[in-house]
Amino acid sequence: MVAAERGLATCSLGHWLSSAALAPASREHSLHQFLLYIGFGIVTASVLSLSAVALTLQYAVSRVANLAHGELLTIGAYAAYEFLRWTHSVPIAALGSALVGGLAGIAMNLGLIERFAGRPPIVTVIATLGVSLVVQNILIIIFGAASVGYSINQGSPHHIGPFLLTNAEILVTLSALAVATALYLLLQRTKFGKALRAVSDNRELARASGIPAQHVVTATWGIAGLIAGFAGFVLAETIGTFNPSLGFGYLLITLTAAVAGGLGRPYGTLIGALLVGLVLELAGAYSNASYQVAFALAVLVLLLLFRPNGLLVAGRQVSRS
Amino acid sequence: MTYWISIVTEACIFSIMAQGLNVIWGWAGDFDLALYGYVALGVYLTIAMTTGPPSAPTEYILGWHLPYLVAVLLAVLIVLPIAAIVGAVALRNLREIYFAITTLGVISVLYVIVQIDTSLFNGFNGIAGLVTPMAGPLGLSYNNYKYFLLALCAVVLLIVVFALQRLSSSPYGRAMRSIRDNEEAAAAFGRNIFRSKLIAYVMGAGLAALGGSLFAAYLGAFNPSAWAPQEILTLYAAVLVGGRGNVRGVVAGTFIVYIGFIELTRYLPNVGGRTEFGPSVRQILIGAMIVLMLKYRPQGIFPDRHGVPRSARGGPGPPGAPGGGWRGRLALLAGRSNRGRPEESVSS
Repeated sequence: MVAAERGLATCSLGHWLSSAALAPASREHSLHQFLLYIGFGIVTASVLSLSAVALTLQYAVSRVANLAHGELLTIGAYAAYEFLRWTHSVPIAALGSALVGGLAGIAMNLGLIERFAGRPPIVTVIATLGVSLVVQNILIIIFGAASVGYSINQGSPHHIGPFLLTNAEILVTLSALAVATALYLLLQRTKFGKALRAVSDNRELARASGIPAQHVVTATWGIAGLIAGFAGFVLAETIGTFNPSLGFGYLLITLTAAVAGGLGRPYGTLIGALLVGLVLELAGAYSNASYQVAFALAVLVLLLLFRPNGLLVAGRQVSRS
Repeated sequence: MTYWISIVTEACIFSIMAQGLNVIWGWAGDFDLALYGYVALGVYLTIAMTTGPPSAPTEYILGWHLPYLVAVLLAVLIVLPIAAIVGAVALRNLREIYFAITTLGVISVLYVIVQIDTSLFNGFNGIAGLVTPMAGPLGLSYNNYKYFLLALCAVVLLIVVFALQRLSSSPYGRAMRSIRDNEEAAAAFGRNIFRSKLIAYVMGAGLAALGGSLFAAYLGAFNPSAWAPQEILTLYAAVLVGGRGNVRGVVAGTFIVYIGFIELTRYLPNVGGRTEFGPSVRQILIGAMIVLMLKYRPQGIFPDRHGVPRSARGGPGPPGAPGGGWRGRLALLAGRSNRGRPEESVSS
C-alpha cells in the first residue's frame, strides 16, 4: 500500500488523481518520518536517474534534447508487459524492456536524428516532438488508451536502516546503482568510453582523429535506449498502472534532472537526479503529493535562471542550445 | 451541410489560435509549448464568466452572468498578464530548448493544477453550460445559430488577419524577423530583444485566448481531456504547412491540416472495436506531417517572403550569399546557410 501510494507520486502527468495524502507526521516522529521520506526519495531518484542518464547520453553525442525520449520509456514498459504475459518471468521482462528500448533508440537515431544532421538543433527538437505524438498514438492503436498494470508481487515493506522499503523498491535502487556503475566503467575504462567522450566533445575532431564517430553515436543511442527501456519498466512497476502517455508525462521531470546535472554530462545528471528525486519526494511529503510537478517546475525555473549549465558548473550564462 | 458549417467554424477558430503561434514562433522564433494552455484558459474563463454560479456537485471560480462578448474581452485581458509573467521569466535569458522546456513545464503544471484543484474549473469533469451565447438577444433560433457562429468566427479571423498583416510589414514586424534570424546582429542594431520578444509572446497568447473564447461558444463545455499538452502540435503542423511567418499562409495551412486530416480519417472504421482508432490515425498524420515538413519543406507551402534577402528571391546577391532561386530560398529558410545563427557563440 505504501509502495502504491508513493508510486503514484513518481509520475508527473495523469496519475496523481487518486493519490492519497501520506500520514501526518507527529512531532516526536518527525525525524523518523523525515528519514522515511529520504528513503522514498532515493527510490524516486533511482528511477529518475535511469531515465535522465539515458536522455543526457543522447544529448552528449547528438546535441539534441530528445522530446520523444519519454516514448522510449513507454515502449520499454509495454515490452515488459508483453514479456511478462508470455513468460511470467521478471528478469526476462526486464531484459526484454531494455532490448526493445535499445532497438527503439537506434531506430530513433538513424531514422530521425541523423537525418536532421546539420540543421539547427531546435528544428530537430520540434521533429522529436512530432515523433513523440506518432509513437504515442501507434501505442494507443496497438494497446489501447486504457491503463494496464503488471502483476508483480511487491513484497511487504520492511526496515532497512532508517528506511521502510519493499523488496521491489530495493531491487529498483540496486539496479539503478548497477547501471550507474556499469556506465562509469564503460565511460572511463573502455576504448568505447573514450571514443564516446571524444565524440561528445567534438564530433568532427573525433572523426578526424580516426574514431568511427557514426558508429559511436549509433551505439550510444543503443545504450541510451537500453537504459531508457529498462527505466520504463521500472517506472511503470513503481507507479502500478500505466498507459501510452506514461513516458511523456515523465519527460518534464527527466528534463529537470538532466538540466540540474547539466545536459550531456552523465555524472552530473546522476547527481541531478538524486537531488531532484529527493526534492520532489520531500516537497510532496510535506505539502501535497499531487503538486510534485509544480515543485519540479519551480526547481527547473530556478535552475534555468541561475544555473543553466547545471549545478556543478559555476557561473550564470545565457543558455542557448 | 450542418457538418460543413461546423467544421469550417472550427477551422476558423483554430486559424486564430494558429495566428497566435505564428506570432510567437513564426515571427519571434520562440519554440513555445505553453500556448494551448492559454487557449484552455480562454475557454474556461469564458464559460465560467457567462454561465452563472455553479450548482451543487460542480464547482468553479467566478460564476458570473456576464454577456458573452464582455466575457470574451475579459478572458483575453486576464490571460495577457499571465502570459506576460511566463514570458518575462522564460524569455529573459532562456532560448531554444531551454525556453521550450520551461514552457512545457508551465503547461504541465497548469494542466495538473486544473485537474487536481476542483475548485478552479471542476477538475477532471470540467465545466459546461454555455449554450448558444447571444442567441437570445439577437433572436436567433437554434437552427440559425450555427450560421451566426460561423459568421462571427470568420469576421474575427478576418480582423485578426488584417491587423497581423499590417503589423507584419510594419517596422515592428521587420524587427521581429531580424531578431528571429540573428539575435546578436539585431541587438547590435539597437533592438531591444527582450522587449520585442515579450510583446510577441503576450500578443500570441492573447490571440490563443481569443481563439479559446470563441471555442467556448462552439463547444459549450470543456474539460482537461480536450487540452492535453500535445494539442499544440496540431497548431505547429498548421503553421509549418502554411508557411512559418506568413499570415495568410497560416490560415491556409490550418484549413489544409484541420479539414484535410479530419476528412482523411473520417471514414476509418473502428479497428478492433477501438473508438480511438480514427483520432489516433489523425494524430499520427499530424506528427508525421511535422517531421516531413521540417525535413523536406521547412518554409511551408506558402513561404513567407518578408525578410528573405533579395539574393534569395532570385536577384543578384552579394558575393558569398547563397544562390538565388528556389534552392537558395530553401537553403536560407532551412537555416542551412547558417544565416548568422549564433551556433559558434553557444556557451559551453
